[in-house]
Amino acid sequence: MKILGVHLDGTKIYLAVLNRKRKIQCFKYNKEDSFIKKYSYIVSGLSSKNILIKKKVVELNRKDLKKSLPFQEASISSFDKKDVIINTIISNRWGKNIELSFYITTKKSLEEHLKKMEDIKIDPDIVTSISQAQMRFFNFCFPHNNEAFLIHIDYLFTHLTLIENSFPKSTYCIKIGKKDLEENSKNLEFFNEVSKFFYSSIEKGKKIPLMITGDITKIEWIEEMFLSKNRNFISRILSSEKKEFFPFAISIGLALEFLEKDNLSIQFRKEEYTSRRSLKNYLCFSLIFLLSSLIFSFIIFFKGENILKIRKNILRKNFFLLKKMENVDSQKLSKKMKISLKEIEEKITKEEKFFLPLPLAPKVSLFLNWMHKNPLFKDVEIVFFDYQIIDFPKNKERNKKYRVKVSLKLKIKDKIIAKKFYEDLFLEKNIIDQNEKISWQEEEELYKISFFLKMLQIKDLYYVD
Amino acid sequence: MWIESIGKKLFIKKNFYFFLLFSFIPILTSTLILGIKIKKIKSLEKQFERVYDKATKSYFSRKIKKNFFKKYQKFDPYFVTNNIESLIFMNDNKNKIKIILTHPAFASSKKLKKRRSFLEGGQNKLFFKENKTSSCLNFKESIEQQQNEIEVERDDIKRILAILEDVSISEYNPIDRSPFFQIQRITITKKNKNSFILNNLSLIKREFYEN
Repeated sequence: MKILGVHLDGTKIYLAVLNRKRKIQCFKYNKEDSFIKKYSYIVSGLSSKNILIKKKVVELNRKDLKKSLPFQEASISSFDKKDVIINTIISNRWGKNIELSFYITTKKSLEEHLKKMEDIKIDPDIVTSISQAQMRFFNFCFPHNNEAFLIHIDYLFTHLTLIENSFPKSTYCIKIGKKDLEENSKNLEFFNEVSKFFYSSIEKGKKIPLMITGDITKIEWIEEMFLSKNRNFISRILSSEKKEFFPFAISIGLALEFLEKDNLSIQFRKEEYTSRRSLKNYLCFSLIFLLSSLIFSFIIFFKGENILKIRKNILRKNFFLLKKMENVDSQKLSKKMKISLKEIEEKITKEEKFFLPLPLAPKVSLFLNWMHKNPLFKDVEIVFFDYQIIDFPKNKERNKKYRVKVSLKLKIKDKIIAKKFYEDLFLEKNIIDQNEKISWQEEEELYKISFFLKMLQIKDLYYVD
Repeated sequence: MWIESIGKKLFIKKNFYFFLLFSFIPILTSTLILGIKIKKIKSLEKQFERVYDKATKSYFSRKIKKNFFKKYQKFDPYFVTNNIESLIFMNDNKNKIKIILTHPAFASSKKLKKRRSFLEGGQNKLFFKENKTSSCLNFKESIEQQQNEIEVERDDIKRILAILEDVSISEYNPIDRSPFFQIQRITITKKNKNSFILNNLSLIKREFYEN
């Protein structure tokens, strides 16, 4: 991944290419080159003259801060919200206090910047601010210093930024650059403007180091001039081994702004100003997402349909069996399965409700046959037999059950046999209902017995095909 | 260029997220349609299960009812008169008397002659009176009550039961076109070694009609 930082300086364009390992390549732009597409990301920066940094300290927790942010942004600038783009970052925290830094620029400035970029056939992915780039470059060169005056001298402008706690506190742009300084035409005005910025932004009596960047090979005297004119504010001039990169400080800083990508990063290209490449990426991603979604939907749908088809077929087969079992004429049924099932159910209910008392009482012949074959009656003489259905289901009492009482008079000569008969009677469970009363009366050799018969089950009936 | 313009229109002001959400619509729609279809088939399966359960649970009893109804539907309305009240009993006894009466010693026995006339006349026959008639949607139910007690032999009992209970007992078989009879009461008292007194015979008679 290669990041290209682009800095416009009048007619000159400074370019810096950084990879993830922070390997720097610097060169100036040649219109005939068609190298731009090689870079993963292009970063440019808005001039400090187009950016207003405002700060506000709030005492909110993170959740409330997120909610209140749109209101904070609306209240911070006197511009109409529609005309400006605001980037808010948390620049400092202490206790419950949060220092918010609002980077405000107008949409018009951004449009102008983008137009300039378009003229050189560059469509930056990220537009940040030059003060940010200065800060990133300063942190890159002097990672252990956290405060300094940063001055970047361009051909037509000079960008001033005060860094405190490794973060831009204030920024300023003077419309005097290298061109004027080389001609010695506006030197006094230049130093007055710089002093004004120093006065307005630093506490009285405090001295901090100064870093001067830009292509200052022809105006190296300026360092001495700064030291002599601003002794009250400047402790020393910062010098680095990376001095060769100083003319490209802004473009390197811009590339670093992307590589760092932390909560201090600023991006003005958002919403309607989103870069073409981002839009393309968005669109491609969205189309792929949409396509995947469609494919996935189709898979879900057709897989589901297949499963449904199988279930429907099983249901149809079972329904056919049900119709066959119930001997229903398909032509009389509705074509819709739901309705035809209802019709079959109604038919079943009707048939179930049809009152037809089935002969569940054991027949006289059955009982006599049982008696005839039962060894219990072997040594017994039956002199009286009475079979009587006491209860049976009637039209008005459909749920009534059959109750059959049998009374017998037996002649048993041997009392031992009578006793055994009596005992065995209570063990007989196939035909005698042991839940009902069994009575036993003895009159010499005659024994009067009565009991109830066990009812038959539907399965015992033989009225089947 | 057109890609950017579409992209711009779609993704300005966080429309991108909206678009992502929008992309879920096909999945949601297909899931919803499938869900509705599954719900429908599930409800159909449930309905089928209920009907099938109901059908199988009562299938046997309904089938029996149907066959039972079919069996007794074609009956002779004069079955009792033609086939029960016409029965002659005590044939064995009658034959024995006949043989004894041919013997000159007993030819003039008044007792035997009286016995023969009792057995051959109409006195030892079953007579029924129809009581308590009630009718239902598909059948008419009445109680046939025996009017006189009769003397029967073991085989006579088998014959009566074979006809009334629609079963084959020894050589005796049921008679066709019988209405349905259920013996409500029967009393048999042993008179001697070979004969019995049959009284209290009452029958529940059901005559089935098709609507």
